[in-house]
Amino acid sequence: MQNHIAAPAQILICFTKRHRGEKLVAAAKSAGARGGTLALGQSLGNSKVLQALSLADIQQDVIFTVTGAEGPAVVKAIRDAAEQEPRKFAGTALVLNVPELFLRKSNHTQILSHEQTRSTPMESGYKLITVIVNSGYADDVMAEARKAGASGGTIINARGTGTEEDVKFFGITLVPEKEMLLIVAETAKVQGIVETIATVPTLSEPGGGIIFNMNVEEFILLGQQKTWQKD
Amino acid sequence: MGLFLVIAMLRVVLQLSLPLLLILFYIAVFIVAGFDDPAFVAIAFDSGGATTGPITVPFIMAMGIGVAATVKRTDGQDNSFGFVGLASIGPIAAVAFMGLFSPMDENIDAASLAPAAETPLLEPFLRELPHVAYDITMALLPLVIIFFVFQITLLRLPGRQVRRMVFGFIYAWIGLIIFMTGVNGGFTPIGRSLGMQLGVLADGWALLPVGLILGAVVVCAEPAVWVLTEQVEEVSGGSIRRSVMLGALSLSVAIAVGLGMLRVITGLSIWYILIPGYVLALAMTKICPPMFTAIAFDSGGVASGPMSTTFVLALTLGASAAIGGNPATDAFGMVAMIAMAPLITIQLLGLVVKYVEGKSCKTT
Repeated sequence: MQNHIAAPAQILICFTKRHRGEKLVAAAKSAGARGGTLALGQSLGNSKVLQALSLADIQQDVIFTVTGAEGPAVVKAIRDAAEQEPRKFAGTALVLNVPELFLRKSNHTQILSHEQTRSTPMESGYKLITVIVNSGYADDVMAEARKAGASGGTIINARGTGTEEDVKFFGITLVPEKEMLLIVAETAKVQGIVETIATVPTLSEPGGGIIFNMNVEEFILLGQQKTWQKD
Repeated sequence: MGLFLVIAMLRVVLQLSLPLLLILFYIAVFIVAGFDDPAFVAIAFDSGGATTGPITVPFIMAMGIGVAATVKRTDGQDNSFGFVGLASIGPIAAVAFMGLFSPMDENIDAASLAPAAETPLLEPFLRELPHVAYDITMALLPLVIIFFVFQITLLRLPGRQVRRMVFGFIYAWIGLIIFMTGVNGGFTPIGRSLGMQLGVLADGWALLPVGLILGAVVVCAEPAVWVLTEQVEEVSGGSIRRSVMLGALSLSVAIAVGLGMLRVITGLSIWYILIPGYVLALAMTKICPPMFTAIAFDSGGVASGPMSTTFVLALTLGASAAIGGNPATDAFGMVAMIAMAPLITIQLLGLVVKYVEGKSCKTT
């Protein structure tokens, strides 16, 4: 059984420091979010000195939550939770609109379809660029993106899924390790960043990587911004 | 150890069951050790824990995780761990085997364990520095060479990653030299004299509470333990938190050192502790989630590192000499017990997680 409801459907992505994610998820749940998924990420800090010494990795938690009508309340709850300890919870939160959201409730499926009332999709002036490359190359991509004006990015580890043509070893399919790089950038800079990233050699090889953008509805800075790269 | 590392790799590729392999190999080891002099048994099991130390553990673990990541997972994340666990069996088997051929002189000269005379503050460290530096360099050199050979022929990692690796080696080299100098120059003599002082206090029973506290604290100081807990957290995506693992390890090693002290005080044979312990650990592999079994056996090798072999073992040797037992049979084996305890507690942790997850899955 399915029923369509015209309602805002959004995905909320929060970037915060490692081990801080759970508190924010708890705040989101108390405001009505159904749950969330936590992923581990890392980003390359800005300092050139630290980069040269290979000490620039910052560990992060990445929270993914989908929300319906409770979206704004959840965002506010997360923002307030971060405000309580601004230095600890410094980070960013993104809200992206989702055209259709399938939610399973009891034994029927609810489909939230985004209201068609908004004509200008990009309210915040930011876009989320996602780059998926083979492991080991994300740092280079990030460096190129920084040259084009990106301020920060988060890398999440992932793996490719095997296909029939993949290399087999003793009957075991070998799958490639991947890194997903998420960069939030101002719309004006996006074209430049994407073009610069495309020049990274690994992306010209087949299976080397893909890039895609998504519009960001809302871009929120959490906590104190001293430790976060803001453009 | 190299042989067992190959076995560990083959296990992942051929998708063999880790618990099965562990049971088979440990039974074989116990059979061989049964023919050994008791002192040799203790030393053999100590070697297993001691050889998986701050250099081998990060490297072996990383290699294991890397190999496992390229293999399509058919049954969850079992494959990433278990390399260190299997690798530690190698030295145990080797020393146990060697023990069949070398008779051991039962009476260790107590005088040789006499505490060092008063020395000026920096002298012991400066004395240790040159040969520690040489040892560490010789230990890291093969790894560096292997890395560069693979980088040129097979890996071809981008520049940034190579720089990371190079800096990693440099930091490890400097860090290990400082760490081992401190530990060899400071801990061993102090541990021994502390042990001798404590051994005569309250008929030796003062050792028991000291042992418990020491065990809990020493494991948190082991560098390889930091690496293990961090890797576990990363690979499990954050579900097995570092603090939880450290807590479990602290508890287990505390009990282990406590039992070790008991052995020193009462002269209990190591077999009474090893056999039930390993039987329990291996039996638990049947019911524990495979990933936790692998992590547990890895933790065994990891928990017994430079901190425990220098400080705790030295303390135990000193205490044993003071009490008047035979240090060879009573004191050695401490490291083995420190290596055994996490096998049980981490698997217990796995059972708890399995139970809690089972419950929470039913409620949503």
